[in-house]
Amino acid sequence: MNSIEIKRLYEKYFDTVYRICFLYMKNEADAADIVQDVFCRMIKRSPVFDSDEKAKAWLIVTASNCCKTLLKKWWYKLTEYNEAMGKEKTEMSDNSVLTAVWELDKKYSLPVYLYYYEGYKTAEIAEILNEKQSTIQTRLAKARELLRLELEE
Amino acid sequence: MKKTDLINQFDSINADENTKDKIWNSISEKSVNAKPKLVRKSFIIAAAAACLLVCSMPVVANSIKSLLNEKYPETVVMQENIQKAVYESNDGHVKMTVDELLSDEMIVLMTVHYEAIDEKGKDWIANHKFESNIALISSRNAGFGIVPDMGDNTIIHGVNVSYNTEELTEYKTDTERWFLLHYEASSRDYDSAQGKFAYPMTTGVETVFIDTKGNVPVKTIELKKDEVPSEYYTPTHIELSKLSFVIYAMQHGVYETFSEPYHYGSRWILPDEEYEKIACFFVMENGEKIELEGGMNSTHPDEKNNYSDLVLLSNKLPENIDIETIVGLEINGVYYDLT
Repeated sequence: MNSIEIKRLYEKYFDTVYRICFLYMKNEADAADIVQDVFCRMIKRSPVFDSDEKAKAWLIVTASNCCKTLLKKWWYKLTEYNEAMGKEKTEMSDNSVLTAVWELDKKYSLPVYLYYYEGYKTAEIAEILNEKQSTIQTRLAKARELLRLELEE
Repeated sequence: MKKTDLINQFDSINADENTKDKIWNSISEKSVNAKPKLVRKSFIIAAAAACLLVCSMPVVANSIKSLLNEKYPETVVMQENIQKAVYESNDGHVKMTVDELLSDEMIVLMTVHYEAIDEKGKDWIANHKFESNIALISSRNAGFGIVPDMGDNTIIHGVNVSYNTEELTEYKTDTERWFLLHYEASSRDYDSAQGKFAYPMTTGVETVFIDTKGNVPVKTIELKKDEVPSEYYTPTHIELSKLSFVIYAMQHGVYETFSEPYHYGSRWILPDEEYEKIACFFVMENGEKIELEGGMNSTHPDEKNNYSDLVLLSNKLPENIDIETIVGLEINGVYYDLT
């Protein structure tokens, strides 16, 4: 995969990758860093895709894994670290819908995004996230329930 | 909630064009800087020779003997293991020194010192922003990247890496600046213990490979038991140092794989529940149980690693633990003797 091809995929799927990272990390600085990391991995590993959809799926999984990895790090969990880095959770004022999604556990928010915004079917989400289809269906159902409750408050 | 509301709000999550361009520029810079592995290795040798030439310990801020000990009190017990005067670079205006390095190959801690040599260097020290323009990997860092040299076009072991740099602004003067680098891997399963260290000088970003093998001793203890803590894996051994622990296991078979031709960076070979329910404790000689937290990582199934294929749990060692007083390990109720 050459740099022109990666640049093309970057232009095409930047928003998708950025939104996924943003949903996980809840701040712009980390989201931007992980987008960078994801495309650097693409350059380094040069995966082969037979369609753009496959490339998109790879980007989604890699972004998700990168976010999970960072969130697990003990130093990342330190409030002092994030304060020192000047990172604050981005405010979502006057936006009750997005705030409600934002507050969901990541295992719910990502399927919600992929299902409602990206238009993936539950079977496709299951394959991309390496989950059972029934698990995704359950999570979407639970997310719908949580969102309704959150928005009614 | 209406579906259209949700879609509109997802639409509103956007980075501006400037940010998008900036990220791409960093990616391009990283791509351009990538060199063939053989070239890297020859450079490692040159760097090692340069390290040997550094013979004097630079002057650390007054009254501070070790910044690592100062910032990480738990490292005081490893004082003898801290390598001093690791690397020095001088461009005639600024001198950069990797003053200290403490490593068990999984966690690497370094202190870095910049000092102005002349007026130009003084101006640079005062005004240089250690930001993404000189970070090879992450703009989060203040300007350093240290990553394992795992080579190109190889199947990479399931090593996750994180790193960050913190400027110790309390020690900043008109002519000096100090930084603390923290690097953490999820295991020691990478090809080389050479960390790529990128640092800015007045002439631009320089890179060098630093030997991160370190000299913090690591104990490897086999985990033997007839019963298994999970139907999906069998623990094999633990690596234990004063800095970190890694518990390895063999999986009982890939739980789920992606259909080809997907080429994912990592494959989650256990069901979610296994990641979420793992309960792991150090058992101390006084009977106390200390819960362990950390990440779980699988190696690439294609790698055919013959000694372990699952990092069950790995992390920094919990605080205030003397590893000599750990007598056992408990995983999901199964006890392993570590004495």
